[in-house]
Amino acid sequence: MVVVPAAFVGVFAAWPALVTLRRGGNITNALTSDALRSTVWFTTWQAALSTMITLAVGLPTAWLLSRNEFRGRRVVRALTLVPFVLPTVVIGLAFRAVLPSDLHTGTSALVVAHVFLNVAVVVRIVGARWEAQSYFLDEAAATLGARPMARFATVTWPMIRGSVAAAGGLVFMYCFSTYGAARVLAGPSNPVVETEIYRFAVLAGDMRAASALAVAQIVIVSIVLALTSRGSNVQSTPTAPRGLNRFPRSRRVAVRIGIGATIAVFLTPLVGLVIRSLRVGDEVSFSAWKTAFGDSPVPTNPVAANLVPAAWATLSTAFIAMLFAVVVGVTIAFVRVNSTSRFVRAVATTCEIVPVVVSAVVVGLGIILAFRSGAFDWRGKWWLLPVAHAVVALPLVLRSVASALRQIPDDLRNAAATLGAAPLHVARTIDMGLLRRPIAAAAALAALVSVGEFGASSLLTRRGSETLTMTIGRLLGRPGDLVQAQVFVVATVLGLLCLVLVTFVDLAAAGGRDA
Amino acid sequence: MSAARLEARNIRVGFNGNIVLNDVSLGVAPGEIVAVLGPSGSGKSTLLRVIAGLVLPTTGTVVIDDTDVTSTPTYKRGVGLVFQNNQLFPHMNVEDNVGYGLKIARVSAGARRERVRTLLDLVGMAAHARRDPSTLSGGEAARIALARSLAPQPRVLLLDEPLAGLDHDLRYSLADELRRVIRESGTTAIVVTHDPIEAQRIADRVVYLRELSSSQP
Repeated sequence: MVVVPAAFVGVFAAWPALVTLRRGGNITNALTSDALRSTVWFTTWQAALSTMITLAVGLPTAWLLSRNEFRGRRVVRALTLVPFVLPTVVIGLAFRAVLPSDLHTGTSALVVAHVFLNVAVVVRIVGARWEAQSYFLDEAAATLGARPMARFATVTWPMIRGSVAAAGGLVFMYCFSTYGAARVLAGPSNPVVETEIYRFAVLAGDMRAASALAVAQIVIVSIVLALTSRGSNVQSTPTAPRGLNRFPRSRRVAVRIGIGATIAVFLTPLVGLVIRSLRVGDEVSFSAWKTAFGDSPVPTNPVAANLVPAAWATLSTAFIAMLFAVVVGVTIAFVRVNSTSRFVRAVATTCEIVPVVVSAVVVGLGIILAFRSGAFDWRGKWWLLPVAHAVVALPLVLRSVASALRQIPDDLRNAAATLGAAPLHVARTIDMGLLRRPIAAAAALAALVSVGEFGASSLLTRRGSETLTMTIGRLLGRPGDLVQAQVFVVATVLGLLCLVLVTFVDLAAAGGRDA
Repeated sequence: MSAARLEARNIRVGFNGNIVLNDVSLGVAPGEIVAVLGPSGSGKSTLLRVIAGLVLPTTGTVVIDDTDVTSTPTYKRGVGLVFQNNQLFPHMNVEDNVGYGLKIARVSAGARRERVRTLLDLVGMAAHARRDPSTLSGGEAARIALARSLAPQPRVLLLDEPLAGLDHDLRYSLADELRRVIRESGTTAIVVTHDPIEAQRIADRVVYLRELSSSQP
């Protein structure tokens, strides 16, 4: 059962990664050239700085949203998660829309965008752990004489620190593997590893330098994830967040200020993006929207956006990527959860880990390097891009389906077995019956990843099948007020498309919980 | 620490427009053990939380030894509370749970070890100092929770349904043990429960919550 999906991961993720590793040699290759060394160093420290600031902002936000009940809490929480589900290139453009022009590019802009993007990771991972901590433990410590800071240090911190480390590791990985936001915000004097892989591979044709950087990316991300992925297993009896009227006035005031600040910080760039799409030069105008939709072609500017074919290419690519990701992901999830063979489970786990460690740009680079000769010269094949997107989306699909699968009580399967159902029949009628909604949510998640995918697409997109993210990539830096406004139009449409998909994911997941 | 006199005067508590406690008053003499009886949802636990400082009353005062502590933070009150379900810290072993309040009070490691050993002896759990709370049975966890609350020598000890969830026989044998331990510690104590037999076995005096409210018909 695991052979076909394992072969998919082996051929399109592991093999390209190995080819890249062989081509790049060991990590010292990346460190022998001054230029490559300074790229790796800059990428590392900006990722570390972004991670520290993200945790500093994310922890109070997680506390606000997981330990206090107030009207609109779910809406504010959803708002903090929006940046994470939007393509990074859209967030990069949103910050370019609201930052002063002298801060449009540079390290500060990149770090601010990273913080904005990744606060959601901390809210989600640490907030879930914090929500699971019983209020009574904190109260028990108070009755034993512990002041608020002592209670945090002795009761709360030991219970959430594993999740803080795990969130920090993931944030570092995302910031180290930054591509979309870096293309928009880092600027030419601050190249990061992923944008340099793209530049060397596509613009300079130096595959050895691109591979050396890919090796550095894989090694550093693997080390950080290995060091930080051990979460805390401490459990307590969870209690629902408490209403503000239960707390002293000082806390109520702090929470209200926090709510206001969170809404302002998270809404401003998104609103700024839309407003910027309505500005052509110094005028407010719909002309960028009209021309992008093809109402009024721009004969003087052949590089202008053509939104409808790009949206069509985006959706058709996403649909095929979703099919690949779901078939492979669901099969591996079944094997991982149900197989009694340690070897088969290890293969399934490897299939989950490889696409996490290998970034989207490296997936694209690996595919270019691995399939370029003889019968395996697949360059230019239409299906290569959705396959690469499926590889990038696979860990998300696999994890969400495996998690839903683990929640199905064994007794349901046993009951079916006692009623005469054979194992395959049990899988079809019980597991698949209960997994319908989680699989729908995972499918939408895969489509979401594909729609916003920019890294692998930058290396694999063919002429004539330009997706929305690639339209943005092509128009970035092109001259002309109208074209620049169109970049923001495309980003707005892309953002809305992602929000529609996320709503579908949420509805499917909520239906699954209700069922 | 010597036993204290406790008075809760005209306590009124409301949440979201619902009155949970209406003008409730209760006095407990130094060293006395009082059981407060009442059905589920009648506000017994809320009364304890008001006395511990975990809930601010809408009106009314809490007085310990003639000092009004109504707005004193919980951690400064010197009131111990044994929670329903015990609420042992899951990331600390038995010994660290019992010694927690002493560590917070910066009692030296040697004195802390000595006091923890004495308390574990008192509750019959001396052999279980290194165990993880998740491995304890319900009765064992209740004993540890009691020892933990007694460790900092609270002026008043509150017990919120301390034997809830235990089976019938164990509950009554533990009730006798609870009384012995509280009596030996000499502290003033209030136990809330919905079981009249348990209340009589633990307490010197049993009161019904509805009788404590001056607004009751």
